[in-house]
Amino acid sequence: MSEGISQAAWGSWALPFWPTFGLLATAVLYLRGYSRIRRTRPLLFPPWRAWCFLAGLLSLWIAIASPLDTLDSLLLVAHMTQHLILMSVAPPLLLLGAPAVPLLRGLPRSVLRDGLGPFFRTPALHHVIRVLTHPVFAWLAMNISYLAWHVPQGYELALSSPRWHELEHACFLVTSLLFWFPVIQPWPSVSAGSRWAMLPYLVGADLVNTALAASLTFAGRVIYPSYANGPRIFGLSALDDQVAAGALMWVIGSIFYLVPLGAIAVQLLSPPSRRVHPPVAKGSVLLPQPARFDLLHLPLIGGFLRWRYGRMVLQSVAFATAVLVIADGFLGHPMGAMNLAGVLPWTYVRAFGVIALLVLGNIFCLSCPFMLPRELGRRLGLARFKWPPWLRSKWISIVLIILFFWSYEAFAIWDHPQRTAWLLIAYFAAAFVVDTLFRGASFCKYLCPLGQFNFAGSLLSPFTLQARSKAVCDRCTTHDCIRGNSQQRGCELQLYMPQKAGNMDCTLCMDCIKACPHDNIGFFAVVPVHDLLRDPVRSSIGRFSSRIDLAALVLVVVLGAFASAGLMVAPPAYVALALSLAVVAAVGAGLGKKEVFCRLSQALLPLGLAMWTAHLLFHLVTGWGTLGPALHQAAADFGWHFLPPAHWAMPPPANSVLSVQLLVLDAGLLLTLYLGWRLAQQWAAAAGRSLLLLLPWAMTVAAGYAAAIWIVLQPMQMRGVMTMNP
Amino acid sequence: MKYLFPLAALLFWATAVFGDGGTMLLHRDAGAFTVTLFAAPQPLHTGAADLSVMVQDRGSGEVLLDPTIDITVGSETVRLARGQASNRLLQAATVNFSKPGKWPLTMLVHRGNDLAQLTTECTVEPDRSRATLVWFYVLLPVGIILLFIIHQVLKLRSEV
Repeated sequence: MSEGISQAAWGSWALPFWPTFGLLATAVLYLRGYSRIRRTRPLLFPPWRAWCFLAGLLSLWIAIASPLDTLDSLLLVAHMTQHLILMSVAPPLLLLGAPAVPLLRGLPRSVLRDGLGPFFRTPALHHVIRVLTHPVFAWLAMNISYLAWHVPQGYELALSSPRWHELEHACFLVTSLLFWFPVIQPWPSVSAGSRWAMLPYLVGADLVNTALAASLTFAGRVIYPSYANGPRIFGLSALDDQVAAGALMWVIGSIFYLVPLGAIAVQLLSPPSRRVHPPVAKGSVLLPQPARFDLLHLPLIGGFLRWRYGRMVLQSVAFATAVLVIADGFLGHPMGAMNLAGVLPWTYVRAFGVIALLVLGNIFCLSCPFMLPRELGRRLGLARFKWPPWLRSKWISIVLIILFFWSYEAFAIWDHPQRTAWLLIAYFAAAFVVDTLFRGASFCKYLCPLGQFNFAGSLLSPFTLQARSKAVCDRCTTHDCIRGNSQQRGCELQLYMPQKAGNMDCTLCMDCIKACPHDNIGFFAVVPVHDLLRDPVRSSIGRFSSRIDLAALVLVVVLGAFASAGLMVAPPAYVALALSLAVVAAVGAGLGKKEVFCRLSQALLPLGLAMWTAHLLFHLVTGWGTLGPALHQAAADFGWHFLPPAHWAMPPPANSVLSVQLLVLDAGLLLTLYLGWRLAQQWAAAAGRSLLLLLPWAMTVAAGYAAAIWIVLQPMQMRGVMTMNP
Repeated sequence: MKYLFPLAALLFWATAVFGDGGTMLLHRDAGAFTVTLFAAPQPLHTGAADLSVMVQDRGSGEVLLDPTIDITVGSETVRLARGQASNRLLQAATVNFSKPGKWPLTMLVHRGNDLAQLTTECTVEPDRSRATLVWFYVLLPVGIILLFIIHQVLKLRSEV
């Protein structure tokens, strides 16, 4: 065999994304739980347990990602080695890690107690588990599966299709986990029968293995036609390959049964050892509450966000990009898909903005380019007016958002670079004029349509600015976070940190962090939907339940998602929504119609944001390669001819994006329904009455979900999706 | 019953234990070569498909890593590349089957002075994967909602 072929074979690694991700996530979960339980039970969880579990996961990964997997259709011996790992290496290693408690302790406490708790307490489920882990069932399951998949018909079926092949491997792993369970008896499970039973248990399994291995080794003919009819590699004939595979199963497979058999026999014949429990320090079983995750404590990101000029750097980059977009909009190619003004804002920035809302927070406002000229205006010293009290609501910005959505479609702004450029100039001018004349961040808080969209979306963001310690705030007399000081201004949106709840109206400007003399403000991870389940008095906002304008803002964002993605289905959705809200409000008479309307409207946000994400993700994926050619074209349009001329082609729509779109919509639906259910429970203690409150609203949500599914299945306009020919 | 969840988690990941894709469509001697064609998905359906080819020396059976392979499907001709296949003994490319039916497939293998041409026919079925995909994702929340209802009922019972 030449060196090149050997290298090629050993280089045949694959990286299956989801299994790799799953195994990594399981490892993280285990280690999190392991570190917790080790504090209270160090003797039960010595380090070798963790190493065993991790080795089990690693062996699983090797079985599915190494050349064993890529060569298994060519070499029986490779395939049998893979089966050996799945059946005899990974399962006992995983179980030696006693994974039960570490994996459970690795979960958030609320998930464990409220989510899984009711299921754990179900007698029927206990019964099923008892049956599954009973030695007789486990032995039969593993051996029947082992034999059934190795008879020629079963084996050929597995090789005929990847789905059957996956099922075969899943059967092996699952039944082997069950098989090794009574042998290892991982803590805290207790053996129902005698340990002596494990001796015939393992001997019996070894006999089955020996019989199968011998039948392969001594068959004298190739048993599996796929290997007889397929290509042969490494100069190994199909029969030799089969003999090698049989010998491997026989020798190595037997070792895996006989070694534990010997260990159990020695254990049973040894005198019982007296276990000594070391004294546990009083109170040590009460674990400290886990610290909240603070993004500001991360080395690079945290430092950058706290840095005095961090935001300005981001804004400068965004400002330079905006200038480039405006210039190309006026001077560049008139076709949107071939111009930075058609590609950057509508394909990239929009999509990344929404994704950032869901994974981090209001990053768009943090890096908003429109604020830089405003700072210039501030230096003129003209900002002496206060924003009129009667305009301090979201109503103007709601009108502006609707106007923006309408004009975007009516004037096809995405396809007309000049119009995009004018829009940006108008935005700069408005921000400059308003904030040059009025104090505070009046433009951001009361006018900016983009800002309002992001404020609404950030209600689902997983991070929020909060005080680290309430006691420190209570002792504070200067309140620099809102008033500012000589070095740093405070929050211009009037969000007073001790009373700030959630992300509404927060631009993530980080001024409060920089101003706080006690370093008492963090950027904490939170459970995204929880904020919508509470209704405290929020600083500078009040209660959500009394703000019809905020509810209307959320409704515009939600319905705008549907209108933007497929205008034709929007009107019926509006009607259905309006009707159901009216019904709910009527049923809930006495509860406060305003509160019901406001909070149920806000609960629609997950579905609306999911629709936005599904829609914009489609354009991002299908238009992913457009930035390079658009930059290329812009360079040529500006007269920089050092690059060869661009060639354009329309790529086919990506099919894989549909899965992600549907998954996002599913998540939106479920979160929306969950929010509705929890709100109904808050309003009506009895389950029946909660359901009555929820039903019409849930039906509207389901109709919205159906409309969303219908929309994503329609052929979308290929806005801005032309890439350069290779 | 504390091992219920971990066992379920491990069983869940078991379903992600993949088999290697690609089913043999053709294995034939041609000129100085023995050529094997693999295809995924199986059965082939409309849309994108991965075709991978192993070329061996006909006399010695040694795998040849450097031949040039072109596959013509309908009017589309693609050149296969080793970097496209996870199995580095193969060369692979993606082709697009625009409609169901019988598709003629021509393979041209070229190495030094040796040239071989093979033709075969592959059957392409209508793509039902999109409908399956949509149904899966539509039924997924239904399943989760049912699970949630069971959860709530169990919770209520335990509280009673």
